[in-house]
Amino acid sequence: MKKYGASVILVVILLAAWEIGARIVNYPFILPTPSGILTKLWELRMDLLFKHLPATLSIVVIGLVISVVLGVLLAVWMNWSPLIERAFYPLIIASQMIPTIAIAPVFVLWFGYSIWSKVIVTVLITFFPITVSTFDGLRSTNKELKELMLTMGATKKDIFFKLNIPSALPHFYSGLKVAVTFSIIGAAIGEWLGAQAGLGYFSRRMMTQFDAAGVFAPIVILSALGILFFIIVVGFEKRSLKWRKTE
Amino acid sequence: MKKWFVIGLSLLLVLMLAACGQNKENKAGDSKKLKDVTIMLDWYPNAVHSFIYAAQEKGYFKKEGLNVKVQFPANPTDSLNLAAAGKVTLGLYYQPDVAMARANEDVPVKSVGAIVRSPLNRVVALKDSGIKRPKDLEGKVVGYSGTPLSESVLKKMVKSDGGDPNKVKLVDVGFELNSSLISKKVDAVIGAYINHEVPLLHKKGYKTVDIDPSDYGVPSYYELVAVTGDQTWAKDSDTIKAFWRAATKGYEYTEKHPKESLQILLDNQDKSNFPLEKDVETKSLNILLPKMKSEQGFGSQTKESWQSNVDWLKESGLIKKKPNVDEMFENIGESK
Amino acid sequence: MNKSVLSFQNVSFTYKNGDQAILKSLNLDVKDGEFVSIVGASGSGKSTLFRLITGLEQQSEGDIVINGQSYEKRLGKVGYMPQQDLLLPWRTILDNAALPLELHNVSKASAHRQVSQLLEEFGLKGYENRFPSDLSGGMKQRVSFLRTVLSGSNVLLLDEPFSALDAITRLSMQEWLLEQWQKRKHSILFITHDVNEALFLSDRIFIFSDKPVSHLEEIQVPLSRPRTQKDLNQQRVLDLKDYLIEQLRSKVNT
Repeated sequence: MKKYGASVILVVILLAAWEIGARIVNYPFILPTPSGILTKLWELRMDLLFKHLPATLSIVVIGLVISVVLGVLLAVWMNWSPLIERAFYPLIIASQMIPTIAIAPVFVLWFGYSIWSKVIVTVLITFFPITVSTFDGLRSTNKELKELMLTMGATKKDIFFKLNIPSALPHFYSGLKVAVTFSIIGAAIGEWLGAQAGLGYFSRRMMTQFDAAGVFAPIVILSALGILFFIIVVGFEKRSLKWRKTE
Repeated sequence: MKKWFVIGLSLLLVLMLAACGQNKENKAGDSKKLKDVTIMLDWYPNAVHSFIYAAQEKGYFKKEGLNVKVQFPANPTDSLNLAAAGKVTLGLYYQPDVAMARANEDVPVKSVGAIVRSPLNRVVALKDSGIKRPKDLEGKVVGYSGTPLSESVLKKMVKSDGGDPNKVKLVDVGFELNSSLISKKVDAVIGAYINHEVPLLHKKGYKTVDIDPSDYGVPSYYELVAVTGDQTWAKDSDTIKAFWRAATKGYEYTEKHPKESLQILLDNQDKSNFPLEKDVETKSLNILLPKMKSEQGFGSQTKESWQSNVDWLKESGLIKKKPNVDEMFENIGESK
Repeated sequence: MNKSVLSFQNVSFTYKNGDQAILKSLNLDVKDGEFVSIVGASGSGKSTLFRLITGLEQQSEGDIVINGQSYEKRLGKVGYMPQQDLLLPWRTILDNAALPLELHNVSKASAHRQVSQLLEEFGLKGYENRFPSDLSGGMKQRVSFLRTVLSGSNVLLLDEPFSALDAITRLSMQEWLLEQWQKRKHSILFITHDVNEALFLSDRIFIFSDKPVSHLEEIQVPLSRPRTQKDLNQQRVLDLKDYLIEQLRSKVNT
């Protein structure tokens, strides 16, 4: 509890400043007050929690799983073959520069308005931190450790599973932490492509209705979701990496 | 040593601020003649905005003592939001949406002029789809931009035609109305404009069926109105009236000289975001001009129009409480 | 009785990118149960020697014979203890020590059993499930040595294993190493910069002098076992120490 005391105080101060500021400005259709958002959250709780949240959540989870598998496989492949690394790395970086608005119609062409067009938007921005961090992690393998294991008669397979993977694991978790937050943003953006439910979809809809509190309410839930996922990953990280001594 | 440096720096800053202040005053002194007015369009420039650019180019605004700056919205809702917040003098928006914003969220705006006096919105299907009337949409997929208003309009149209709206599937296609129709991802779209999306489809060689909402139970509405914030109106109604006088002249010029007015518009298009094709815009202007004309004066509005729209919006559940219709508009367009 | 466990026969070696040969027709021989120290200035080729023996490098000419057989692929044939403990930080002490057994496909249960027994002998009982970051430098080196012993080979290469330790720990580690060596009767090659250490530990000392190495000067240490640190103060040993230091210094090319 003491650990989070400072954060709680900061949040309270920020919320108070926001509440006061918004009331002074008095454009509730553009800048809602925190109290307005909370009220709206309560009003819409049924729809938000039981209709839109599950829709977004399914995109996030599917997108994350695909991103992790894809990202790790790509990283392993690039680590294994310098040719593949040279070929793919620039493409991977370039993929992040494509604005979603530009590529969205292409995805819709392939996947229609099914969940898959939204999943692919999510995967596009989520796989990147996983690939980069896992690849760097594999590269970070200590050369001396590798040689030592070779002198013990280790095979290539041994080196990969007993040295490369454990070396890469801390880096992988770093990438995963970033990726889970990206996946939520990605899902919300993906819902711009022909969704019929979802927190991102609902937020956008509220924008056309000038319901600013309605715009922010789903965002509050998205943020909570992001924090939850992050905490879960940190939990896994702590367990897998309990050998690590922090400063 | 350090002390002198600090003093010197502060002195320099003070001098700079004074100079800036001086400049500002001089500038204000120069343009005391012209009053700054900003108008934010509903979208990027196209044929419907010709009258504004004509008024600008022909000096009508200047004659009324106005320096008019035209802005484009980054978000589609900006023109209403910023007008309400007083950050722009005027914004262009749509009558039903203005009514909903006022009634539901108390957005403090008033409509000061009706520019396009009847709906441009159509339900559009490709001719070979076999869809001829709203009832045919049963069992079909209709693309739209995700607004509750479109949902209600479509529901009303299908119901009026004796169909079951629950049998119609709506899909949010964002702004991709034409492409989703062409690629047959949807059977029809709603929210396509008779003066833009439809001519574009025809130009590409597609034959279309266009269904007018006002033929199927939806009351006619002003497709484009000019709004201003309540506070702006309270402070500056003279400026707004001056603006409208000049804008009216701009409209009259466009009516008399459509070719020249269109050329002025094309010179002002936003090529990077919304490039215009001359033939499409010519067709568009031909469709628009009759819709902009009024015996009572350019931009005049009627209470009946607002009332019938508010009634229908309430009936379809789009607004919760019945607002005061008189507060929604100021009829400055009416010529005495 | 005194068969050769390791011999170089006319071995030459140049690094792939190198222009100068490191070893040129080198011959050496280590007998069963011997403790041989290798001293030489930095860069004189000592680590190259170890890299060749362990199989990390291949000689350009000549034969390297281990336990009477000439091997081309020598990886996994000798035990190697590196200068830094190089324990895998994510493995427990138990799993770290068991690594060589694991790599030889020994079952986990059997490996753990073997390791646990030895851990007690090495004074590390109770640390089975700790991680390397929990141990002191000396303890980590003991685990590293245990791992080396578990390589299963009778030939062990120790690369300056105590140089990173403080002086006091180093002395106790030296005594402990001799204990272990006498118990298990390995043949040990031991690289060190510390002349005292070489004299205390070894039967013979190989001196690396000129590059390319075509001949190693071999010194027999004139001390019987068991030895104490005090024995190093005998006159003939002191003379030997002077001689060794002189040999080392003259070879330092700057």
